[in-house]
Amino acid sequence: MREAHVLRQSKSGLVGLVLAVAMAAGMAVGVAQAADEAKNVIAYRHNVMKGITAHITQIAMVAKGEVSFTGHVAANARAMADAAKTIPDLFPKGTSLDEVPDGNEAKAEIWKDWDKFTAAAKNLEAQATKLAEVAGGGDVAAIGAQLGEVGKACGSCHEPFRKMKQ
Amino acid sequence: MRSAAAALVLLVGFGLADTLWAAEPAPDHEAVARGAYLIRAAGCIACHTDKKGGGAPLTGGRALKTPFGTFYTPNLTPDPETGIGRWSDDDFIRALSEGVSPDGRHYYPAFPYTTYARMNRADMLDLKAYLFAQAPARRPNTPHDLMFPFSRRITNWPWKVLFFAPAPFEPDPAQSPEINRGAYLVNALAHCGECHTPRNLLGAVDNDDFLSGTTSGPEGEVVPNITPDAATGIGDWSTKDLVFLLRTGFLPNGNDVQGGMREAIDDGLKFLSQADLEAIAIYLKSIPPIDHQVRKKRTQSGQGGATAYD
Repeated sequence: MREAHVLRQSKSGLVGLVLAVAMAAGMAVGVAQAADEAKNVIAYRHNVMKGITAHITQIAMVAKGEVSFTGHVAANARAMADAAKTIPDLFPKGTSLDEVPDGNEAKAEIWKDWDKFTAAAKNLEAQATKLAEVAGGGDVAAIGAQLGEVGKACGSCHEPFRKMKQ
Repeated sequence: MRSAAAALVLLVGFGLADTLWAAEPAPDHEAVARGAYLIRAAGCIACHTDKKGGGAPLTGGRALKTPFGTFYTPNLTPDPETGIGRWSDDDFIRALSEGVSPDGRHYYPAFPYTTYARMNRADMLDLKAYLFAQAPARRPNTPHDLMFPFSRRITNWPWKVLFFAPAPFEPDPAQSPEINRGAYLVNALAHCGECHTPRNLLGAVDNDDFLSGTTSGPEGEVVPNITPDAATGIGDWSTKDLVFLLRTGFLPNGNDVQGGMREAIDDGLKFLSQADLEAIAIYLKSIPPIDHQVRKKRTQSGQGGATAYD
């Protein structure tokens, strides 16, 4: 009887273990579903854009002569170029403002004209890379001028693909 | 006369251009160079080029949507048939300073002659010298597509009587040369007020609200208040911030401008000298601040403006 009881106990222990494993697995599946959920991707890409904006602001302060950290410009420019490379990843299907209207400015045109969109991201990468090269020369006016080209690259994507806030 | 001119065009068409034009007085290269700068300062290229349609520079045809209908800008190249190739100096000055075409028609104020009327005559002639040094391009003008009664050009005459008082720019002796230069650039060339000043129901800019922004700008854009009002304008911008925007298109918070301002910068303002951009900035900081909230919600420091991520 005693043995049977032990057996029963261990049996229920086993069931518990199986249940626990199953629950953990279920949670893992849950996590996998939460990753890349549209609202998370949108929040993430806003952060990438804010990051690019921060790099621009830092370079701008050098170009305006507000700080003398000319030696930092290239690193900021390279960081922008790296961020630009990730842009196509940040716009998976199902994340347009038609599908997720809340706090989202991504027009459906992005996916209708995907090649133009990715070309615009490539152009930002190219212009930011060039800015890193220009920065090596240490000429603040040249940095400002090339930052203008970066601005044009931003605009050439924002203009057709981002809904303007009114 | 017309057939003679047509024959001339044909001859030119058959490749006799060089010999015919050799008889013309040689272009004044200095005037052309000054004109090349002025055409940037006056912002002619953005409106007189149909970029979206792939048009060549200054050949016109660009659509300008307004509450009165759609205007199509004319060809400014010296093509004698479809451009301004037959215009005399006086014709050109009259168009800019009176808003009247060589054949006596009144222009619509979508063409900012209301601003250009303040331009020095010498600058006008330099602009003409530059335009006449460009290759003539044949592109017949597209008729405007306007609502009645504005579709009748005759309405431009009473409009002028009511709203147009042509007067050349007069420097203010009480102000610094730099502020006066900025005032000239803003009010006689760059025509900032044509977009940044609200218009009345008949489309005339209301200079009591000079540069205080509007929710019904060209192409339906919201145009920010650029008076130095601290809360609703650019009061918290430095002159460096302004120069930087005009050079690069970046707002102080790192966002990029779009729409009409992007065009104004890329086709014109960013080519101006540092001294001229600083003059514009210093002048804008010197005008009366006007409390006028254009945007629904003001965001962070230094942004009178348009963009997301804030």
